[in-house]
Amino acid sequence: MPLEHALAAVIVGGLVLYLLGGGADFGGGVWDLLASGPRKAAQRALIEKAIGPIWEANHVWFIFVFVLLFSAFPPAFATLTTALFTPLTLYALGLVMRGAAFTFRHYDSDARRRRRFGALFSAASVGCPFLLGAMGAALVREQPLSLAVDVFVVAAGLFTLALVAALAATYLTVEAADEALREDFRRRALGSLAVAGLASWVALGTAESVAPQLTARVGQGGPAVFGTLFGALALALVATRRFRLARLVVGALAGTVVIGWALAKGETLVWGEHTLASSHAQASTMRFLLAATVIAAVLVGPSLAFLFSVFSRPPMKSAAISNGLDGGHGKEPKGA
Amino acid sequence: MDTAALARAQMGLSLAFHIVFAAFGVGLPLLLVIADTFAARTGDERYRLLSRRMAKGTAILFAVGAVSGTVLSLELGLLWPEFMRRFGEVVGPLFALEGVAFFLEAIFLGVVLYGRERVSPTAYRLSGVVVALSGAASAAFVTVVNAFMNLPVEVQWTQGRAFLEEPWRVFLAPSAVTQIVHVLLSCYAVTGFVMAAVHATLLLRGRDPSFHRAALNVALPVAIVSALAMPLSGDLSAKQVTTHQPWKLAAMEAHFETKACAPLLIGGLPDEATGTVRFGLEVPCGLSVLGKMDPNAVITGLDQIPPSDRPPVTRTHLSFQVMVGAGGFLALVSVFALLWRWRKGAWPEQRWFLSSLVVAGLAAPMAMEAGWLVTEFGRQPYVVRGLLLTAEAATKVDGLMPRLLVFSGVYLFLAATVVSLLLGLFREPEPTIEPHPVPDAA
Repeated sequence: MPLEHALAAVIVGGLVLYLLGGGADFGGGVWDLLASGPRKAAQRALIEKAIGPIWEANHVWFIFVFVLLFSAFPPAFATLTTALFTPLTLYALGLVMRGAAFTFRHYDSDARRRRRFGALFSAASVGCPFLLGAMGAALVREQPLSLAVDVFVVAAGLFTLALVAALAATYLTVEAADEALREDFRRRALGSLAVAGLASWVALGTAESVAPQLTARVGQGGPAVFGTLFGALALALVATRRFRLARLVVGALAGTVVIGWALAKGETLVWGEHTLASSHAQASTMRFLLAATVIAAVLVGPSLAFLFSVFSRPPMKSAAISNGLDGGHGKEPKGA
Repeated sequence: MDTAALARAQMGLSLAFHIVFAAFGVGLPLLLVIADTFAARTGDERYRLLSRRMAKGTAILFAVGAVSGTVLSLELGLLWPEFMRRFGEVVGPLFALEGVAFFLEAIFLGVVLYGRERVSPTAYRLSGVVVALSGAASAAFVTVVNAFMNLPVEVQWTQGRAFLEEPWRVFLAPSAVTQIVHVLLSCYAVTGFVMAAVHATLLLRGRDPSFHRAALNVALPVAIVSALAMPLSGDLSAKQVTTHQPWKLAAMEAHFETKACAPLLIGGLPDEATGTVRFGLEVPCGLSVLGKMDPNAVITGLDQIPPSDRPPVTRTHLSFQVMVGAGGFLALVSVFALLWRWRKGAWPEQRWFLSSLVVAGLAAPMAMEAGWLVTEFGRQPYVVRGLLLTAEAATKVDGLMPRLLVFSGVYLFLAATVVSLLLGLFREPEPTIEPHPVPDAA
């Protein structure tokens, strides 16, 4: 495999992990915004607890993808950032607001300010995945790169939004400790999966004129088949309350979406300007980057596994001793 | 303002903002490890509670550092597309390594902040050590990028793009080592002094001294060691700059005329048009001694630098003066505290000393910002010295002004919120501590 293909594969892999981790965080924000019913507060608390320890790590995938892109394909990166200047700037703003407001809300003791930070957090969580999907659509369109808004771009944005919401809702059905809360998120998972299916149908339907490759390679090819299959299976599994299995299948669905997108792009990085072959870095740089990726995998993989394992088991001490952080705005324990 | 100036303004604003939080991201994990170690060694409840409280502050500061760092990675591409196009291959791998280090830091910080009750005390402390080490590593990688921009290693070119046959050679950028040491020390100094200032303020307000004394026991050693090592590191940097970046030294010192026995300028307002300095104090042959350890050494002045390659003198010089002045103050405070501790076995608690600690808590970040300005101004008009002009590297996209205003507003909002949250944290009453230290129940 040529080095640039290996690096492109690493970038796509990073995007899949970003969608599975960071995407689910965005989805958590969406459900924070849409929290409703008698268990409104409990829903929000569950989301906060689930995001809490992992929140920052999930978003490093984005930096990882971005950095690999500019190291491995510098001219394409320069064109891309110039053409998508506005949406990328908005995305940056969204990331700042989301991450900062999430933490601020956790540590603020004033209820009114907490509500405001919560609104900011969830609004940014809705905006970011929409922008991500819209930029993905712009990148796959076969016309000079820009964020011209058309039905295809909007449908892709909504699809991404619904997909991250489905990811989060499915994860949360597994995380929820009590039955009623689990049912809340079960309904949400079903709803968002249905919306994602609908939006993907609109996006693929409108792709033919603007992104014929997408139609040819995805709409009429394997990714659409797998996507439909995983989507239907996920719906069935959530409906029949096989949540752990459903979590896996929704993850596979998200992976299929990113891989399908990458297949539709093929060799093209920026339509009409840069291909993988025309814009890749020197072999020495690419080898170094691949080596760095291996180091990263060796160091980060087990560390992440450790982090997840730590937070999937119950605390060692009795729950009566608050660690002063899980409670966030709570008071210090009086002696111990 | 033209587009390049706006791009610089936005990048400068973002960096100036990020640097402070990044410094806490490097320094606070070390202080946390120290507090936890004290707690484990002495069984003193105060350190355990201190560490819990510091963890809250760390979470807030780290979050803002992380998101503002993410923005910076975007802004590199958005504001400096030509820099990324031409040098992305050279500096990109460093950012990739920085990403790995930051990833580890974020992962284990999750354990440190949220996992205290979920892992063994040893695993907990080790996680803290990993956070401190990876924080330092990520700062070091980013500093190498800056060192490369200041004084690039020899690069190869293809299609107008720079690359290295051996990418790791970017670590050989001549100023890398001196800069890394200087940056890490400044991170520890800032964190130590700011924390000391917070607790000095609470002591001045007459709050329960026992808890805040414990906090000073954690913060002051780090602050003092860094502040006293800083002049040594600064001296090494000065020698490096004298030999390899004469334009920067000349601008720092407003040294217009090449000569032997060059004086060291203290203060003063340079006039770039006439090449003179008003109101300055000159130490005869001082610059020659400092730069080359020889009073008769010839020090290159700005007259030897082509006018189109000269950095802005006034800004570089004044930033340098602020850095040295503030750093000198920190060193003085440190010497006093150290002597007192040595003679009396406790940190001084006179009101004037506590007040000067409060001032030091402001002076330390000021010194760091000023030092960063020195290195940035002193490299101008280049973004990569000798290879790419800042103006060429900037984006050609119009309409940066509204974005600059939006981002300024966002940073103001973030800064105000962080301050108000931290103040809320400090307003909490001191934890009730039993009169006799009890062994850690864990």
